[in-house]
Amino acid sequence: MIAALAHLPRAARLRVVLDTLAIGAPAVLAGGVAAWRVAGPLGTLAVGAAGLGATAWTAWKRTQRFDRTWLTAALDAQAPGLEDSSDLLFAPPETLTGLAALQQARLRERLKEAAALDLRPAWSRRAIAASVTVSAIVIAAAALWPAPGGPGSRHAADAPAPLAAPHLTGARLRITPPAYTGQRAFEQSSLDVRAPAGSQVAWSLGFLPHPDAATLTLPGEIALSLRREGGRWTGARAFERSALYRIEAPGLPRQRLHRLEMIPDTAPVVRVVTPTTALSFVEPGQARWTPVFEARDDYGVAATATLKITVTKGEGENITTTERTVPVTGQGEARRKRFSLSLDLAREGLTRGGDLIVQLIVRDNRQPAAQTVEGPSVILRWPTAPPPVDGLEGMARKILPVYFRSQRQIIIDAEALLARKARLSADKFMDSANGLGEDQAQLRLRYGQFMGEEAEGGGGGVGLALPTSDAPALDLPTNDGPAAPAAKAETHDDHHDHDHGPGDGHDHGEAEEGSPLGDMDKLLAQFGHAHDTGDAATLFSPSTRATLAQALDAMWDSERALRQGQVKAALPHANRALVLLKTAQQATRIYLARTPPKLPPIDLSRRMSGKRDGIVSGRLAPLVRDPADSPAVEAWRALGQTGPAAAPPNLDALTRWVGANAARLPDALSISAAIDTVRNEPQCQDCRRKLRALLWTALERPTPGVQRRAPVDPRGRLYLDALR
Amino acid sequence: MTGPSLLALAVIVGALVVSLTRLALRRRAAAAAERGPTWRFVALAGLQIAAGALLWLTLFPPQVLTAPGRLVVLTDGAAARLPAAGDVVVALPEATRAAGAIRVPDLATALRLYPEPGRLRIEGHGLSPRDRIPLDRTATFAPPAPPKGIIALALPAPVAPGARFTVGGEIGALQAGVVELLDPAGAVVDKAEVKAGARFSLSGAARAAGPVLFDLRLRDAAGRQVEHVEIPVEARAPISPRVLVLAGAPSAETKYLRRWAQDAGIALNLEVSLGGGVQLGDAPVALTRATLDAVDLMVIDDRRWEALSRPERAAIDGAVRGGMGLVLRPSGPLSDAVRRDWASLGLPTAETDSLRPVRLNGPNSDVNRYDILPTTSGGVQLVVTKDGQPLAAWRARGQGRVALWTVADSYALVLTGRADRHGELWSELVSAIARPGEAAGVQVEGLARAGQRVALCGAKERLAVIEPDGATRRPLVDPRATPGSCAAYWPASPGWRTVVDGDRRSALYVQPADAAPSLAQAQARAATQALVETAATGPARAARHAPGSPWPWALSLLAVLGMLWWLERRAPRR
Repeated sequence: MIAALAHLPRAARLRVVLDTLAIGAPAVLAGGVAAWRVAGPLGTLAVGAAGLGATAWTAWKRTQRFDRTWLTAALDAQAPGLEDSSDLLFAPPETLTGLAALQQARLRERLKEAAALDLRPAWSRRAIAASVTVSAIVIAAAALWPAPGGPGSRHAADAPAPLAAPHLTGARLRITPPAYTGQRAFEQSSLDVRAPAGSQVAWSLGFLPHPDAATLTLPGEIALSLRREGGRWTGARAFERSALYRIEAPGLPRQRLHRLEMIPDTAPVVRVVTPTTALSFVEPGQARWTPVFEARDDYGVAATATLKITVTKGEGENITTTERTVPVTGQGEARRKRFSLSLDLAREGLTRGGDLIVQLIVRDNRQPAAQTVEGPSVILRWPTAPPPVDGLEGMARKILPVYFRSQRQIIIDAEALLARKARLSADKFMDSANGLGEDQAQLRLRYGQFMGEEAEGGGGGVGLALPTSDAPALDLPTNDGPAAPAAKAETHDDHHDHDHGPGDGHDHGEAEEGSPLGDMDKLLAQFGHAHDTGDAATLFSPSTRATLAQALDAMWDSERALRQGQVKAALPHANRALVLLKTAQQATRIYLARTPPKLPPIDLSRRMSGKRDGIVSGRLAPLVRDPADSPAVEAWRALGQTGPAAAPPNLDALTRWVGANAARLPDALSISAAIDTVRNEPQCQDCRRKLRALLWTALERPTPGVQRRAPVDPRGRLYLDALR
Repeated sequence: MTGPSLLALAVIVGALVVSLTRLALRRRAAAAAERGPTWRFVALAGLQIAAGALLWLTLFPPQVLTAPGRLVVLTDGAAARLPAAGDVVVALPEATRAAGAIRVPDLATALRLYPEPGRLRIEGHGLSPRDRIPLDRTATFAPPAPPKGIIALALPAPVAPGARFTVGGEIGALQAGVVELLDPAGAVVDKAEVKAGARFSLSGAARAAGPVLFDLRLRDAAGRQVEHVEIPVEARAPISPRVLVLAGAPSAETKYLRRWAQDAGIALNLEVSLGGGVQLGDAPVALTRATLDAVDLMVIDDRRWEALSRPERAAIDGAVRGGMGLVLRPSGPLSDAVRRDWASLGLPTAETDSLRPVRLNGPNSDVNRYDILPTTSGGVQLVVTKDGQPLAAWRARGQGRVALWTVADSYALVLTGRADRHGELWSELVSAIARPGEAAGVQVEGLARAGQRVALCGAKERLAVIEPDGATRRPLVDPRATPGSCAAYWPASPGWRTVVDGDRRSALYVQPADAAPSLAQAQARAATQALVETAATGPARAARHAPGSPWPWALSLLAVLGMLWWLERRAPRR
C-alpha cells in the first residue's frame, strides 16, 4: 500500500530540488562572474562554493516538507475517491476495527486511482525567470564594466594600433669567433657583445610592424644595412676592433648605443724554465746544455718556434759572434707549450771565454698574421782560464799587483822620519832611511823602464824580486791582501781619486809574460793610463823624455842620500823629482771636450755687484696635465647640477676629449656610449649619473692643493691672545 | 559640583521624595488587612533610597586614591607592552608597535596631559629632536639593544681639489666587519677592518672642484652590507697661501717641495743660504715684520735657524703671533741652542736624534723621520700615519701656529712614484699651519636630514638656499643664536643644495630621512640619556585622586532595582 504511493513524495522532492537549482544556478553563475571581475579566480571559487552550498541547503530544506502529513493532505485534496480518509491507508490494518477497517478496504481498491495522481508542485516560473534575467544583467555588467585603469587602457595594451611606429620585438645575435681561437659560436639575446677580436657577429632582429629598412650604424664606420628574411632582419660582419653601434630604422625611436667589445688576442708570453738565472756558467766537464722555455698564449702557441743561438768568441774588444737559428718543436697542450733543445757545446763552437746566448722566438696561431714574440735570452758563459799554477793545485795564491811607494809618499815618509829622528836610535833611523831608499830605487826603476833603461840586478837585486804580476815570483808571495791598490796608480796622478779595484775599467793586463822592457804599449797599459791612442801618443815626445830623465836623475840623487841615511839631504832631490814627474804627467795629459751643461752667458754688468733685480727663478716644466682645463671636469661639474638652472654639459667638447684621450682612459667605449645616451635622452637622470660616475674614473687627480683653515671668531681670537 | 551633577541630584532627590510620599500615602490609604507587614514598607523605602543613591554614584562615581604610577613614553623601537598598574602608556609618533598605548603628537603634550604620574619612563631608542625638552619629573631610560651600524660619524671639511679628506667614525655593536669608502664610480678607495666599538678613519681624494658623494659602507664578517651612509665631500678651488722656505743648505727636500708647490699653484719663495752671504734660490726676502706679514707660512730648517739674527727672530715671532704659520724642519741632529729656541716656541724636542723609518700607507710609502717628537706635551698631533704615528705636532702661538715637522726625506716618496702621497703630506701640513684663509662659509653640525631642522650657522648676511629644483628659499638669520648667527632650515627632500651667504657659496647635502639609522638611534640615545640625567628630581608624589569606575555602582543599582521589583511584585498576603 505504502509502496504503491511511495513514488509520489519522491517525485515531489525531485521537482523541488530541480526548481531550486533552476532558481539558484543562474544566481551562482552571475555571482561567480562578478567575483572574477572583482577579486579574480579565487573570488569566483569562494562565491561559487558559497552559492552552491546555499542552494543545496535550500533545496534540502524544501524537500523536508514532503512527509506523510503532506501526502495525506495532498491525497485528500486531490483524490476525491479517497473520501478524505487517506490517513487510514497508512494505518496498520490489525489496529483498525469495525468501520475503519471497512473503509480502509474500500480505499485500497481505489489506490490505483490515487497512485496515478501527479502531486508534484508546480515550477516556480516567475522566480526562475527573474533569477535568469537578473543573472544575465549582472554577467553582462561584469563583463562590460570598464577596468579601473581608465577607459580603453586594456584594449590599447592588447592590440597595438596598426599605424604605430615600429619597435624592436626581439633580437638574436650569433657570434662566431675566429676559427683559430677554437671557441664555439654562441648565441645571445643581449645586444651588447663581448667576443674575441675578429669574431663574426650576425644580427637577427624582429620589428613590429616591419619598417621599410633597418641599419646598424657604427659611429665613425660604415653602416651595416640589414636584409629582411621572412619575419627577421639580418646582417653580419666581422669586427677587429671594439666599437659602438645603434639600431636604426625609419620611424624607430632613437635607440641607445650598444657595445661591441672585441677582446684582442694577446701576444704569447715566453718564460725560461731552466736555467733559473739569466747567466749561468759552464760546469767542469759539461758537454751539453739544455735550456727549456715555456710559452703561453690565450688561444694557442704555434707548434714550432725558432731558437736563436749566438756564440761569442774572444775577449776584450776582440769579440766575434756567430749567429744561427734552429727550429724547435714544442710539446704540451696548445695554449702552453714547452720548447727545449739540447745543445752540444763543442759543436756550437763555444770556447773558453765565450758566451752561448739562446733566445726563443715564438708565434701564436692568430690568423691572418701570427704574433711573434722574442723571449728573454739566457747566457751560458765559459769563464776564462785561471792563471797557470802548475803543481800547486789548491794552493795557488792570487798574484798580487806590485806595491811601492809613490814619490809623494817617499817625501812624506822622509819628512816623518826626520821628525822622529830624535826619538830613534841611529841604527833604526839608518834602517828606515835605507828602506825609503829602496822604495826610491823601485820607483826610479819603474820610471826607468819607461825610458828604456836596463833593469838593475836582473831580478836578483834588492827590492826588485817583488811578486809583481808581470813577473810572478812564487817564492815570495806578499801577504798584504788585495787592499790598497791605489798605490799602483801613483804614476798617473797622486791626487787622482781613481779607485783601481780589481774589476775597474782599466785593464792592467795581469799574467803578462817575459820582460816588459821595450814593450812600451804593454807597460803603458800596465802602469799608466793609456788615455790616448797609439797614433797620437804623447808619451814619447822629446820634451817629456827630457823631463822624465831629469826626474830619474833627481830620484837617483834622492836614493843615494837616503841609502846613506842623509834624509835631510835627500828631500830636495825627492821634491824636485816629484815636480818633474808632475810636469811630465801634465805634458802627457789630454783634455777632452765633454758635453757640458749649456750655461747662460755671464752678465758681466751684473757680475760681483750683488744685484738680483729682474732675476726670477724659472718655472719648472709642468709634469701633470692640468685637469681643471679639461672638458671632462667641466662636464662632470655640469652633470652634477640638477634642476632647471643646471647648465647642459658640453657634450661635443667631451666627445672630442674622449677621442683624444682614448688610449689613457680606462673604458673609453663606455664613456662614449654614456655620452650618446645623455645626448639623446637629456631627461634621463640615471644616464647622467652613470656618465658622471664614468667621468670620475677618467678624471686625473690633481696635485693636492691647500685648503687653509678658517679664521677664528673674535672670542677665539681673544682666547688665543690670552694664551701664554 | 558642576551644573549637570546638581541637576541630576535635584532630579534624583525629587523623584525619591515623590516615590516615598506615594509609598507612605498608599500605605495609609490601604486597609489594615492589605497593608502588609511593616518590614516590607521599611524595606521598600530603604531600597528606594538606596537605588537613588546608587544612581547618583553610577552617574558620578567618587574619586579613588591610586598608587603613584609612571608615565611610560614609547619611542622609536619600543616594544608594545601591557601597562603595569597605575601606569599611563603613551606612544610618540615614531613608535611603530604601540598597540594599546595612547597616541600623543609629542612629548610635551604627554607631559601636560598626564601631570599626575610622578615618574617618567622612556622606552625605545630615545627621543627625536622634536621631543628633546627639559623633563619635569624623575625619569628613567630603558633603551633596547644598541645599534650595530655606524654610531658616530665625522664628515670631512671642504678640501682643495686633489687633497686628501678623512672620514672618521665609530662602529656600534657589530662584532667584526669591514668599513669601506667608495668613490662616486663605485670603486673602493680605502677600507679598514673594524670590530664592535672601534673607531675608524678612512681617506679619499677629490679629483675636481665641486660637490661629490662618496659612499661609506659597513659590511659584516660574512660580507653582507650592514649599513651605508653617503659622504658628501665638497672640493673648493682654494686661495693658495704664500710660502717662504728658508734652508741652510740645498737639498732634495726643498727641491721637491718647490716642485709640489708649483704643481699645486702655491706661491713659494725658496731661499737657500750657503753661509758667508751666498744665497741660492729666489730673491731673498728681508725678514722684517712687514714682509713677514705678507707671508702665510714659513718653513725653516735648523741650520738656517741658527744663522738668524736676533731682530730676525723677533720679527718671525711677532709675525707668528700675528697669524703666520711657522714650520720647523730639522735637517740633522739639532744643536742645543736650536733645541732651546724651539722649546721656547712651545715645541720641546726629545733628546734622541735617530732617524726611524715609518710607513705611511701602503707600499712604496716609506719615509724616515727624526724621532724627536716628545711623547707628552708635544702639542697637537698632525699628519698621523695609518698606524697612529704623528709626523708633526703644532702649538698655537698667538694667532699663528708653530709646527715641528719630523720627516727627513719626504722627497723619497716622489722618487718611488708616490708624488701624490708627498703632496698629501705637505698639503695636510700647510693646510693646518698656514695663516687662516677666508671664513669657511655656512656650517652645519652633523648630518642634515630631510624633514628635520637644520641649523645653518656662521651666516654673515641674508642667507639663500637654492633647492634641487631650482627654487630659492631664504631662511631668517638669528644673529644672537650660538655658535654664531644661525638660521633654521627645513629641507623637504634629499639632495644637494647651494647655500648662498653674500658672495660665499657652499654646498649642503641633505640625506634621506632614513639615512644612517644607527647614527640617528645613537644620537637619540645619547641625547635622551643626557635629558634623563638632567631631569627635574622632586619628592615622590603621594597617592592621587582618580575618577573611579561607575561599573560597580551600576551593578549594585541593578541588584537593588531587582529587589525592589521583586518586593513590589510580591503581593502582600491576604
